Amino acid sequence: MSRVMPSLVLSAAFLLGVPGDARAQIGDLTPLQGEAVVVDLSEKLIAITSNFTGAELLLFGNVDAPDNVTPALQRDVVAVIRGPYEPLTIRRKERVAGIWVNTGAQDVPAAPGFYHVASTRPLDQIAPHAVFEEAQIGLDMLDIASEREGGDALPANYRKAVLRAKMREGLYAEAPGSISFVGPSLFRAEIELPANVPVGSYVATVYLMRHGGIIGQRSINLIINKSGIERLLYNFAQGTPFLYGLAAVLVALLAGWVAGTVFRER
Amino acid sequence: MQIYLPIAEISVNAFVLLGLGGAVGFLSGMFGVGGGFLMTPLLIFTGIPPAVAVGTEAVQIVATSMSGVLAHWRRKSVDFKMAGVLLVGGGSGTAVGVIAFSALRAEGQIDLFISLAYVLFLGIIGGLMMIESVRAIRAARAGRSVSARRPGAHGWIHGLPLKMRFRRSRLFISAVPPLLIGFFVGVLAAIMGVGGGFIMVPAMIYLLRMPTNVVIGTSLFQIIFVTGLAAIMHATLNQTVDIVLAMLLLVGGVLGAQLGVRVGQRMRGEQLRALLAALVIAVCLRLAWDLVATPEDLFTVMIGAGA
Repeated sequence: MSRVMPSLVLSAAFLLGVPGDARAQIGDLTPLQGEAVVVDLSEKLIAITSNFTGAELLLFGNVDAPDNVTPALQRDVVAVIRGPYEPLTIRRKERVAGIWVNTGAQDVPAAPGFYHVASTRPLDQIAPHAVFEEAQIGLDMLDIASEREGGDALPANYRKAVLRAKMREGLYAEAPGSISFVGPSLFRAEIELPANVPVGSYVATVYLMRHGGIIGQRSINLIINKSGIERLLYNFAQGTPFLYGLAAVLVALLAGWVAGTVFRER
Repeated sequence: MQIYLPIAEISVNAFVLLGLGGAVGFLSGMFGVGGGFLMTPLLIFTGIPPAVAVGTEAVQIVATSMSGVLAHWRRKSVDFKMAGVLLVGGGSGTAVGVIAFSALRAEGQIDLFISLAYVLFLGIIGGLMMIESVRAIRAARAGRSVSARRPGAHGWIHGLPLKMRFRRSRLFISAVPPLLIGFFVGVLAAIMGVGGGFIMVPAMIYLLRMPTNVVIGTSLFQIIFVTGLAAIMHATLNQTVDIVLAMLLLVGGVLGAQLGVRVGQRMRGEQLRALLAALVIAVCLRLAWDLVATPEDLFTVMIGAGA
């Protein structure tokens, strides 16, 4: 049984370091003649300016349906958007002598700062567990601690705490049903980026799925960056922190002096 | 109107911050305290990361104290010599405080330590001030006059070496107590993200027995330098000073402070102290409650390594 994916898609996925050419051994996964997924984003560069309150990203694409007969219902699309990886420290509180004290801590060298899974249906209706596990799709499958020193796994309660905290902030999410087909081959999804979205490079990977397996995938890059005065101030604070601090204090002194003089008692 | 803060990396309502700055600035002008002990917890409550709240608050205190001190300067109610002595202690105290801050942060105990320090100091000071001012108010109602300044009641402070004359304060006392007070407040300023006025003012009144009219101006004057130093250190070591946030707070803060100074001058000293005491006790109780109440989530997740 030959399962030759279009080489373009394979190499793109390889270059972007997206986990796995993950096709499971279930059902008939042979792509129909010429069946492929193309995808794009409404914006590939999101600039964070002073009035940034989050953004709505539109992900859209097309599944070639050469025969025009294969109904949309027979295939699913799953999109995973991963944000820049960052180290985390997780602390656990315990009651000591009546007050709550941090008693335990775990380090994670790199966890995605943003992780959003959009899909046409709930994941467990689309394919078996193992398929998503191999491709690392879904919050349950997200490998938070793979690079930990000594290779020991992150305790389950700490792992859950990370998911909980990130979901609370709107940075991790699963949105089953958020991808909808418009007509037989066109699909779209709206992805909410909260205002606290981390700055850096993102990868959106779209998986075309049928009969419980992945039959095609495509990745696309997204950059989120600060711009304008925000970028200027951020770079000033990071690049020459001492001068930035000095400038901040001088500005504060000036502002205080101006206010104190303007409001002088008569 | 939502505005994005470049260092805090969140979006907040600009009017909420202006209002917050104004309210705290008003109290700051009225009582001669920096307002940090109120503003820092309030900022954290609105979702600003605690480290950014502490660093940014230092900048804002510089501005409000500067605007507040000018009126006292013109009225010649700043004892520069006393402020200088307090500052020598305060500078070294801030440095020690920053080192302690880093060590506690590495251990993951800084939040707990900050809360405990707040509860302890606010509780003691608020309690003492409340008792004292209620007594003074009662005495005034009964027609007796109670002098806060009791010359000759210096006790052990009189026996210490390094005596200096402080003309503005009309004091001839040892430099050791102000040095120690300055140092102690410097440590607290660095660790708790406050100016330390809420400790400095009572310490000047009750320990140094400075006349009440120079206390506020002198406290504000030395706070400018201690918090300025703290702000530069926070910016340099932790990159946690958000200038946009500081600007919003200080626009509200300086306006509020001007109003506060005027209202404060029309109120009687003991009423002012009773009001401040009530405020201090309220913040103390709130923080104490947070220490014992079961948190919503027993786990906290922070970006950055260093468990």
